Amino acid sequence: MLGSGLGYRAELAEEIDRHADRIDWLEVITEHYLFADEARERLRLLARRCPIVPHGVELSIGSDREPDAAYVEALAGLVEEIDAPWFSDHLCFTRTDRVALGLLAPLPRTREVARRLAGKAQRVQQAVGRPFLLENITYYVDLATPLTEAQFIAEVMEHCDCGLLLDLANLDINARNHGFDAIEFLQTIPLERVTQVHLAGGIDGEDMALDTHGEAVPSRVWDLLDELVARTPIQATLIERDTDFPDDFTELLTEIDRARTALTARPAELAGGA
Amino acid sequence: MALPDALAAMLTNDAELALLQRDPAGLRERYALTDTELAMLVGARPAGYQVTRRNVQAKLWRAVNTRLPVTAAHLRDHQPDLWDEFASTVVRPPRPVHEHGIWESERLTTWLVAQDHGPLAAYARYELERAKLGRTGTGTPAGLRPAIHRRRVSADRLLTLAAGARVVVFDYDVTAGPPIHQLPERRTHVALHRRARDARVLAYRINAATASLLACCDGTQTADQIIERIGHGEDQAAIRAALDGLLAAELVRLT
Ligand SMILES: [Fe+2]
Repeated sequence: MLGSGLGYRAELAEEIDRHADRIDWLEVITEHYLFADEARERLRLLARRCPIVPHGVELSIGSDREPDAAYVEALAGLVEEIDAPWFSDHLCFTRTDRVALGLLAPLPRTREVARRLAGKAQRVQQAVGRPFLLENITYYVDLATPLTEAQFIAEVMEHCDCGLLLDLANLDINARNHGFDAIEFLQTIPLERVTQVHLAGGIDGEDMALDTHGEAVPSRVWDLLDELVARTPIQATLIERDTDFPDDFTELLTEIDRARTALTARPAELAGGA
Repeated sequence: MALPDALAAMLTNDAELALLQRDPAGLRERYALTDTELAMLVGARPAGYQVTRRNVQAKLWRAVNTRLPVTAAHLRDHQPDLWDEFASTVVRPPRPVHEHGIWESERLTTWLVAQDHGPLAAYARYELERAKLGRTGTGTPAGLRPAIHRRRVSADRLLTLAAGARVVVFDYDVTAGPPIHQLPERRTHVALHRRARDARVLAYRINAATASLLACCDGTQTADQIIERIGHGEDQAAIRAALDGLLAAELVRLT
């Protein structure tokens, strides 16, 4: 089990250093390190102290064309260099041939798209040589598709042997914005494929709940974590905080502790199943 | 699958987004959508498009902020309408990951210059030039420090501007900022320099004479030739000293 980790951000670097003994592992944004020599050197030093997982935002695995070969090669180099236990990116597209959105955009949830994506993800996993975890995104445009999000994820998983990074904050926000039941979602996806979890807080906007990564993890998301670990063993949780960093870092440490407690407090019949 | 093309266009262009309500058949035609794909787009709530459109613009701001942090913060804090005007027109092309933010920053800078946004355009150009040379350092000195005259120019070798150096001219004194709106309006020459193995870019405010001296260091002339060409009488010693200084500061190298 990797344990309870925190998203590494420059704004938090000093505090992360100071409290290294209370953070089991760190997740870094892949693109910050792929082609950056100086940052890479710092990452190598960090990787000597604790496990590091690269988390990408620009692979665009849902784009029509195959992922950029130079990107995948560089990713493989990064993963090997820091000996990452796995790497992750999102179930989405961020660009087409003509437009770079710079944002995780939702895919048309059809079986055909799911299968094509699964094939590409499988090939990326093969090229990188470590487990590839795919993450559910927050989406605000809810395309009127034949599959629900959970069915789409299940279809992807059916056609590759990649893992899942289940973002419970995204699940909570999507469920509220689009009116579906988060528990039913958990019952539909292959939970045994969930390796890692993301936990974060958002805000309620005028029309929709918004995923800001700028608030404390809300109780609804903690409840979902309990629901999840009651059903399946999870190897790692991660607190994501990108904005409005708390003045008092112990707020984040408390969340990390709470996630660790939830992770290890599995029912007896599931304990040892990992 | 044509739907991602249509969705990407709708999320980056208000006119395309408006088509969904106004002329869905036109949208279908433009992106060769099937009836099923069009129904998927039409069936999504308008609020979802609006929120995502705002997020796309926020990501654009963040991309610019990685390269032009002062300009981006100024637009956000002091001229948000100007930012919105810019952001509403921009469709970002796919670029390699390591160039993140450069295309967007160039586009914004060109736009600000074309619109004649005086000090803001000058500062955007300043930040862009620095970004292109390397990562911006903080607290870099404005104004050339007294050089340490250890190295002397040799008479028979050609002088060239250092690889990581460039001279840029502004109509505002960008080295006096930020804040951007208080930049003095005066013609200002700035030498930017990123030394080998140093990620920071140093900025030196230089006078016009030094700028023309640097312009002469183009790899075709020796120090003597340069002095001969632009020096008169007593000036010659001063020019030689200045060249020594530029060499010591590593802005110029001998080839
Ligand atoms: Fe996440």
